[in-house]
Amino acid sequence: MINSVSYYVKEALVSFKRNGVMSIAAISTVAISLFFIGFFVILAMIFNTKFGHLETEANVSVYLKETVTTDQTTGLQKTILSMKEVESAKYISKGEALKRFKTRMKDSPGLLDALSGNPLPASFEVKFKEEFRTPDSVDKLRDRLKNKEEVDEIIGQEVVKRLFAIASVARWIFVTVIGLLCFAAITLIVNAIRLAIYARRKEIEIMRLVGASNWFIRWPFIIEGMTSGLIGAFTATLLLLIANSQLFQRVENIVPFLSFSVDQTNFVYIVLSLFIVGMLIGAIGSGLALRKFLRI
Amino acid sequence: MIKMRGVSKIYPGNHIALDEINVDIEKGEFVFLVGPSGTGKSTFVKLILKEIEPTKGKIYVAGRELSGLGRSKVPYLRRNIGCVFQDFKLLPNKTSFENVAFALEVIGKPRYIIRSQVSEVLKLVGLAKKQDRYPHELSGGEQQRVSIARAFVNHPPLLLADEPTGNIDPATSMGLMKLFNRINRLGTTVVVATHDKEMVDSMRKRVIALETGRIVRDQARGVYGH
Repeated sequence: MINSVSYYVKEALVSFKRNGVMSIAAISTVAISLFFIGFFVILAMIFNTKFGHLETEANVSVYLKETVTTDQTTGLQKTILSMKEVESAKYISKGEALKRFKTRMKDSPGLLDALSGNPLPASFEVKFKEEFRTPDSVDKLRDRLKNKEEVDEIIGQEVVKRLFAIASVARWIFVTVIGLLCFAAITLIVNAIRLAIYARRKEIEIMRLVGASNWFIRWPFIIEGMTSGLIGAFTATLLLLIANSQLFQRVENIVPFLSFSVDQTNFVYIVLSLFIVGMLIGAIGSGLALRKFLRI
Repeated sequence: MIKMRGVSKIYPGNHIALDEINVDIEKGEFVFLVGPSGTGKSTFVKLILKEIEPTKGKIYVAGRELSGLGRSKVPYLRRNIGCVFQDFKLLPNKTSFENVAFALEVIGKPRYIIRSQVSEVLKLVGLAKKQDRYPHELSGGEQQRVSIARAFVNHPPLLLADEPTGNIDPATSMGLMKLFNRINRLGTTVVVATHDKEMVDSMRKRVIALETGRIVRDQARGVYGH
């Protein structure tokens, strides 16, 4: 058994060396595909942590002018609550807004120091009833409040909606590009293995004649394919580490309140999945090549 | 050892290679399969190895019916069949010893068994002194002896040879035939497909003659005929 394993690995490595260019092409494509997968997953994670909460939190914020009086505020709250679509309308005072802002920005103390006084407006956080959480309700609310001079601005979910629409388009483009890249990677691995099979066709013929088991003949090629996948994953990880330190963290330094980085644990998960995907691509590629070019 | 019942093989393009073959080859027999090129001798050999499937009929090797044998079981069938071909099928980058050892390595035999079995079989074929030569350093006859050694190293109950003397001069061929005979006397069933008339005539073994896919003669202690 030990003998066989070392035989498989040895054969895989020899064949690897023999088909240098093809193997490098296959590995590079795997690396690029996996790098893009990792890159986009990191972007998606950042996006979700930044904007994901918008969907579940306050549906609509009604911002009030600086000059608003307490009476006006109470009146406004009654008006809003009188709508059948509205579940609650929570008053957020200027002080409360600042407190929230401070907690959210506690990672960037420099930015807070730059604030003089309290520039944040008071607002109502309007929450719609479950069944009315639609753009229609926001329009109705807007209609109802359009003559109220104490209202400064209504920021509704359409902003969030647009953001998510963009995200979903981006996701489709991403999935397509990754799909194509994976396809290219698998094709190149199929080709590399095909060459490996061709280089060893005489040995394979003899192995079959003398009764080597089918798996004994297959293993070296599967190992070769999976090794390509793993080296690709390793390369992609290096690229991601570089991207993380050179790009995301640099962006973070320039625009400090956008925390543009992924924490260690998530990064480890991403890398692990890249390795698994790399190995899968390699296994699928060599499996297809074996089916097509090695009829046993 | 080999039993065929109503076996036909029709290749694409309606080319009939074998037509309703019925044959019994007993354990320990030495059989020549003769006939001009293209009469189905190679097809016969390939069918026994289950390299190809018959279009019709049943084939039994050592009591097992081949069509019922799954793909993954085929290697185990072949471990019981030694095979010798016209073109030797040796690996050019391996010595005689390594070529023979290769057959045992790939079926997972332990190293110490390989060493003793290979030496023994190279002695049997008369190449003990040339075990470290590469195929290109050997004559055609010697290369064929290496390939016979490889076919027999595992002591299979059945040895198939497809035109084993096709590339070899007559004097050397006789030596190879004596070798087949020796292997046969060790208990292995030997089937040699050939159109080498002199060789067949000199051996006086059972002869099965094929013509256009049919058995036209089956004769104990026969000659090539015609």
